[in-house]
Amino acid sequence: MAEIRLENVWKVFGKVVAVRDVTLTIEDGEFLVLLGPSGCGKTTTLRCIAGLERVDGGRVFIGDRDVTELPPGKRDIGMVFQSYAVFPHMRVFDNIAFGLKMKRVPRAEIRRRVQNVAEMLGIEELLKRYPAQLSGGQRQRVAVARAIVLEPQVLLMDEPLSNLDALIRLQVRAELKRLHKQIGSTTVYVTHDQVEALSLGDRIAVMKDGEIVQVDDPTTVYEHPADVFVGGFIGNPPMNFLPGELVAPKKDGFLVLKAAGHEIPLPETLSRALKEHVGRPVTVGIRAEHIEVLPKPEGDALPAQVLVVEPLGSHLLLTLDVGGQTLKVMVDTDLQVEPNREVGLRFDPAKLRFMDRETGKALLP
Amino acid sequence: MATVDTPVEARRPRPLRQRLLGTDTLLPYWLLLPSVLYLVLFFVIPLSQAIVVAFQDPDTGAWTLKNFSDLLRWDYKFKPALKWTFLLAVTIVPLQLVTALLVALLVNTRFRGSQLFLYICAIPLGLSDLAAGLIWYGIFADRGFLNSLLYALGLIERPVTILSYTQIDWLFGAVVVAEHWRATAIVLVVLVAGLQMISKDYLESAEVLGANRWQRLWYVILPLLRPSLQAALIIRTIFAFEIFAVVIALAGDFLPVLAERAYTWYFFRQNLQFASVYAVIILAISLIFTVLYLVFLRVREEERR
Ligand SMILES: Nc1ncnc2c1ncn2[C@@H]1O[C@H](COP(=O)(O)OP(=O)(O)O)[C@@H](O)[C@H]1O
Ligand SMILES: [Mg+2]
Repeated sequence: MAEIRLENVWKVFGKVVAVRDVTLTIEDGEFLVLLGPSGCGKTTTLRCIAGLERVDGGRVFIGDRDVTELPPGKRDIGMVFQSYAVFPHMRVFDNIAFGLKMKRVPRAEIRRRVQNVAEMLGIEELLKRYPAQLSGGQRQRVAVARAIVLEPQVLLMDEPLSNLDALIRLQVRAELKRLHKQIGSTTVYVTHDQVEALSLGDRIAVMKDGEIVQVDDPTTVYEHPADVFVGGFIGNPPMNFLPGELVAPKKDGFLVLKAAGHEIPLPETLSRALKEHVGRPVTVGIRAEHIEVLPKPEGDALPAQVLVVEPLGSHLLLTLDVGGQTLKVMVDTDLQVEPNREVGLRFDPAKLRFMDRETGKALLP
Repeated sequence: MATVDTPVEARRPRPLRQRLLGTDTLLPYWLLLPSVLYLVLFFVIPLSQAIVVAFQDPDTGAWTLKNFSDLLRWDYKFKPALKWTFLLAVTIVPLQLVTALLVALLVNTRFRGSQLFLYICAIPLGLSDLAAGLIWYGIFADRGFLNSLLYALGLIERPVTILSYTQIDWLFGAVVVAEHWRATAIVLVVLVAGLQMISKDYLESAEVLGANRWQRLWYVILPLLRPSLQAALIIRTIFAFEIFAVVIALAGDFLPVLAERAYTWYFFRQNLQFASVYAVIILAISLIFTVLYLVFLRVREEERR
């Protein structure tokens, strides 16, 4: 097993900078998810680790080895392609055995090891079949088996679930997680699906336009997005964003947030942390489930008007109007609401995320 | 079938296109019709006539193998023709396959200008075989380009005679070179198309799994290229047994081949029977090879992508 280290890696295709100065350390045995919208450079980053692309700058390390100049076959990696790339002219057994055969492993050992991984993935019944006789899920398992039978230090997967039906996807997702626990290879997993990323990753690296904007564990990425982009990309519905301003009233020294036509006093710790940003235009982010909805506007609750009510089964998704701004709020199904009703909103100011209005970057870590 | 419940759709008047062409399932056959007509008119009918003539006694009209035995007895060039045709085929076809494969692999690396390179390689495709034969005659003749070049370079003092009935091996070599130049491009085009169908994911997968260049060629590219290899081999082998104009241009009848014998018996000796026997023999050989390729290079249904 080994850690992966990318140091200032660049990859340029003509005018397109696919990977821009990426520096990232993936710890030994870690499951790291590369998450980002389509075209942001996830696949290219993965291919740079694999050696399928030559980097235009920077270095790649696997363990203690500088593998920047090594071909893919010498990097001790396994890779699962988005298309699976299971050889159509070989039976499942020969597909899984391919890497071992190339390394001239003795035949008896090949048989033993193929049998082992086939059992691990529950495909031992399929060894004699051709790929055309398999379902998408089965083919995906063959691709995984073929990659892990070599017991690589590093396992790379490019959107391995994107070609599967929604139902199978859930099942395979859980299996991949279990498999990682079992084999312990350092894993880099590419996806554009934030739910997948949150459920699988030990850590998530969020990419945008070839750059990594945040690397953190799933909870941190979700609760404390590094910028407006991450907050808007992760979560369903995405984080709410409102323009606001931080002002300091004369008396007690605590700060006040002016947003959506209201003044919201901030607690002491937050006030102290944000002191240097007073007077600055900010963007305030808050998650849909961090807002409490009261049936009536009362006390210090912010008055809001219900625009849309969408039952999602387990929850209700409300679209609200607060002082001309639109908010998405997730509430329990037992709340009695209907469109046009006036409600009150309450939230914990500690759950607010403050970003610079210009750069979109979070003001606090 | 009971027609109790005719669907509404079936009762509507059918669109004009459907009335003219029948149902959609018939359409493909209508589209095939012109080429089928062409084949019947210019291949099936003359061919069946040739077969009939070959197996009939010209005097009595009875079915017989007499024409074949007569030919064996009278045409002392039959065995040489058979020998040279086979030798040419088994020399030229593998040579073309290897050349075409190497060039196709080169083109498939998509180097700068690879498309232009492919077009240039394909130019001979546009020439008739007689024209190609004459071009190479112009090269190999006593006062041809090759001799002029060697002379200009000071490598020879006097023209060297390459094309002479006294050196049949040289004639053979000249035909191989000319035919290789003329007809390799068709194999190349088929193989390039086949290579482009192979997803690069397969090759990269193999690369990650530790396969070197040769292993990727042997275990991934060639097996996936099998349908194209099969098509190219069938086309080339059939044409190889029909080799004619290039041989005539370079060697006259000093290098006898089957198609040349058929031509000679038909035009110079007016012997329809013997010409037909040759046609049938060429047909039989082509058929046998086609079947062999279809069997041995078959891609089973379950191995398809
Ligand atoms: N081989 C290539 N040639 C040219 N441009 C490429 C190539 N591969 C990727 N790109 C470009 O690089 C960017 C990143 O692509 P990619 O890594 O595939 O994104 P992702 O996997 O995140 O969707 C895209 O703009 C894409 O068009
Ligand atoms: Mg991708």
